[in-house]
Amino acid sequence: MINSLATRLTSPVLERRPVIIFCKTLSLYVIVKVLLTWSVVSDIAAFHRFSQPKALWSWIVFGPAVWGSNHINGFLVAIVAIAIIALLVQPNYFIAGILAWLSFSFYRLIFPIANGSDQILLTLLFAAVPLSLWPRVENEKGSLVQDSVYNTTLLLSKLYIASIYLISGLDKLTSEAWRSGDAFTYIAQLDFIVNPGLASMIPESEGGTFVISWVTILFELSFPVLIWFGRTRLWACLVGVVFHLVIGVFLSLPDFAGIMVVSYLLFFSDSDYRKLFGLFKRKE
Amino acid sequence: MKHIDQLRKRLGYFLVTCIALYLVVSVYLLLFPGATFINRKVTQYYEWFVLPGPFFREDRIRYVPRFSFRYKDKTGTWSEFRDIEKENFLKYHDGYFNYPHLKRSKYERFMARTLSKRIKAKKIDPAQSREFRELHAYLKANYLPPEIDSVELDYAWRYAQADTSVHQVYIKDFHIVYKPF
Repeated sequence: MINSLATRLTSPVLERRPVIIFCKTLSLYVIVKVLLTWSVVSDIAAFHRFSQPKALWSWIVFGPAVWGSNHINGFLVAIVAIAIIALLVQPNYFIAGILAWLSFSFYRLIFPIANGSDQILLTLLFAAVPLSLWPRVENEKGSLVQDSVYNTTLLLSKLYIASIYLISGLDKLTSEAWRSGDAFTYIAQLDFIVNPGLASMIPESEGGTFVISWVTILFELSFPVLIWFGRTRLWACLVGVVFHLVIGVFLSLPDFAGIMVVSYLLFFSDSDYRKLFGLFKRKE
Repeated sequence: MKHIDQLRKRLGYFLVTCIALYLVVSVYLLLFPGATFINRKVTQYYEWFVLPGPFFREDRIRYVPRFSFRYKDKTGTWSEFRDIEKENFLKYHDGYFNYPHLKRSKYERFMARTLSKRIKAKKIDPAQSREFRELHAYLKANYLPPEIDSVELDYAWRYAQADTSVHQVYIKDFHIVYKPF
């Protein structure tokens, strides 16, 4: 098993399309996120005081945030411009690296309004750097290292996404409130996240909250397993999309829904896309 | 050719070790919350970057905060209390492209919550805190009329209850009345 994994990790990269689509969608997500939060981020920059970096490494990492806190519009223009370039050109180390670096500072600037989706976005943006795979190293040794790092990052990114569900699922499984269904009664009382137009749809009966609690737990525990098998992957993703859309609409978490759906693109293979495009072609 | 095969093999084993290390450290930190890997700082970064969540934790979904404010004009009349966080949250749900209102609501909740934490942690005069100045500057720029006599801030919270028929009591957190500056 170890030998087979080692061989797989060091084999040449054959399927690029799914990762290219993923990287470009991630850039698009950044553009939308920055544009939609622009007015609020401007306010935060005006009122929220950021602590200045002290160490040299901290200056290097958060330099754009320091500049951005004083020139917020310039900083936001820069990040949108880089994300647009990343969207238009072939994924490459340089642009992906700058985008991840600026996004780290962006996260720091939006910290007061950040949630888990921003954390996941940042990790995925950093993963997108080795996944860019361009410019190619010409010599044999170099391309071996390049392909191996790419394959490993891809596998780690998939494990990372799967772990998000596993961690939340296990936590819910050990929580009495989730096991009994009371968690949904609590959530229904969080009037700062529950969609007021749909609040009445959250079941009030013990049986109803018990069922949706366990549906949530079972989904979060089964997704990290089902996502690895060709036969169940598309179904797991489909259920995942519905799950996140429901959470996004009911619990006012559109950005979280967005980033999780984007992350599914990592799991698709070339053949999945061929199936998908074939479906449209047949319809035409 | 032989050399490249050797490199491939070594690199393969190295990368498998990296993945195994990732899995072992992650499982260890999940099984033993509060444990450290290398040192506290590295563990914090590792957990932040590599192990996000868990989301909708029980203690988080039970905390229901409420922040409101009002002001007294120069004639001595108090305005109605305003829950701006809720107002912005409702504006978000009023239309399709009101996402900024959702984030504004979150920012307002953040400011009130951090001020509450600061007051509890440091036992200082709230007026001296950075968090208070931030909240006041924000309110002044966005909601308070120019000529006012005083401002009253009120923050309370309650635990969400499983039995919703029981009267829900808010616990007072901070209550500040001050002259605007």
